Amino acid sequence: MFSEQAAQRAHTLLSPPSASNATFARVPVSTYNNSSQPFRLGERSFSRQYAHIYATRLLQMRPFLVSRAQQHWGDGVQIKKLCELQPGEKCCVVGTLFKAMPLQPSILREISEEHNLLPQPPRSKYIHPDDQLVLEDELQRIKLEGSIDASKLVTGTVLAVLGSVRDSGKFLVEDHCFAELAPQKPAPTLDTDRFVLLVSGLGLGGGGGESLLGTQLLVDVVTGQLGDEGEQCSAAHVSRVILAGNLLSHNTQSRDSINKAKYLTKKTQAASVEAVKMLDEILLQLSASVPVDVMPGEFDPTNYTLPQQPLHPCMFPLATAYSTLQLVTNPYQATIDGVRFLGTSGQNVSDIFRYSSMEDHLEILEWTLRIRHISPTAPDTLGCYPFYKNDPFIFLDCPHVYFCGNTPQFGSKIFRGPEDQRVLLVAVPDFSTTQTACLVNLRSLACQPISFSGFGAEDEDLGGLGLSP
Amino acid sequence: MGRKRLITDSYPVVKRREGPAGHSKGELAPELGEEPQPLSVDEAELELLRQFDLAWQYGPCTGITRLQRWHRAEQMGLEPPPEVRQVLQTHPGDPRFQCSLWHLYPL
Repeated sequence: MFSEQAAQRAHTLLSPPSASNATFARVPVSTYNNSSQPFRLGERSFSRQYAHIYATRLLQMRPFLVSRAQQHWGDGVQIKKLCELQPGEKCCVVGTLFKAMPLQPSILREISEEHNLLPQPPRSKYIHPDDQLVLEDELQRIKLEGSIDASKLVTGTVLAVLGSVRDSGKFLVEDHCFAELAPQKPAPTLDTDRFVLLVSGLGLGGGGGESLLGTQLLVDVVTGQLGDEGEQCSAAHVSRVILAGNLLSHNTQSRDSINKAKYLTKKTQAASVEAVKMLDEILLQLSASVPVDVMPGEFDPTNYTLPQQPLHPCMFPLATAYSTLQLVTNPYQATIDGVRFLGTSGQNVSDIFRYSSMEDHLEILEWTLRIRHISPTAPDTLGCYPFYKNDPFIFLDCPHVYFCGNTPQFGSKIFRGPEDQRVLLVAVPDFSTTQTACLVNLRSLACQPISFSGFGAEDEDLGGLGLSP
Repeated sequence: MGRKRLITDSYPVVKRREGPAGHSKGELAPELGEEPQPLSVDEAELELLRQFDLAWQYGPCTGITRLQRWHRAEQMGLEPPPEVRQVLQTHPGDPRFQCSLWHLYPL
């Protein structure tokens, strides 16, 4: 996209200075609507148990699953509760899944004195061939066996299973189905190309200077200070930038001040203070030119539990002077020029990665869309606020662009739903390791990676700016 | 010995004849068949609220007030009984009415 447009214009870089300079006005944002209100928390009360989230999740998802079950297995399929099951009778049950994993870190097992165990070292995946699946509804639970893949599924998924109860008391599954995609409003047709830039994992304060050059190149491309007139013209078509989490690096989270003695850490500053100052300067450059949405991530100074609240504006004294800077929640939902965006900073996908056999982050993203829930493992293994009224992570309607940040590599795919829904799935890679950002074209709903690399000491050729087609 | 000696050889089974009007031996404490005394209005309302707490259809009851649970049930389309809401509105601020059955227990 970018490079094709740039090639069309005449080269103007090495021409003599002229009286008139070409100016490019950035495409104005025609409509923007931030619909992340369900993820904003007002007064917070933690004196509640998590049973409420599971109860409301099941209550809200039950009608979707009943209609899907009737579509798959015919209208005559009997949908029963667990307490009404008769042995040997084929029927369908809707419930929440629980996966009993022996390797799952359990705080009770750790502090139990009779076992005398040391805390388990963190692993990349906690799955085991002996994982057991249990289906729970409002009153009872039952073990599942049969044609259901326990390694792929995670705790907290709501699904419908078709089968019968055996005499052993276990439920023999013949088939299962998820809630699939929610209804989607059709995407608007735009007349010009408009781009939204998705970046995640800037990783400031990490100590390595490599990614800083890449970040500066990114800012320069977006603000139009880099490249020929062709590239500047293309950069003017970027209408918005979304920073999807992990703006600070993992290294800023060092807990030295707690572990070391007081006299050693007296005069040291938290590493995140310097990193936030750097972030403020970058945001100042960006927001002077383009609307920016900043989502917090796993290592950013905000609350840990999902939904993460926006970063506080007092941390960005320079950048908050501009109204184009928007500090938003994680997960983030907005309608940009009529195209619905929904995305997270990647904690939901990486948590499912740890407890499931699925390897590809894009595949996990697609799977969360199919089960109609952003993060099923919250609150079991991922921290979550104890909601009681409703579960805000359920998809009530289907977005046009669904992204998640901080994945190990770039991935993008168009996913088609059963009712002709069309969703662009984007796995935004971690910028500090891959130096790659994503450009989403709102008119054609296509995504292109854009990578920035600096030339290292080993490189023979001058690497420079790489704009891949 | 002939056949086995049974205790009924020494102590024959005696069936006591029932009295004229089904009146048995001793007067048992009036528990089972006894009609409960009519509850006061407050007691009846508290009983209604307790039954609302224990109804499994409306979800868990601990940690939230009864009014919050009633509103949640209404929004989910479960049609909670309107009498419960009326009772809750006539006694605002009284923790025996507003809070759930187990509100004195921590979490």
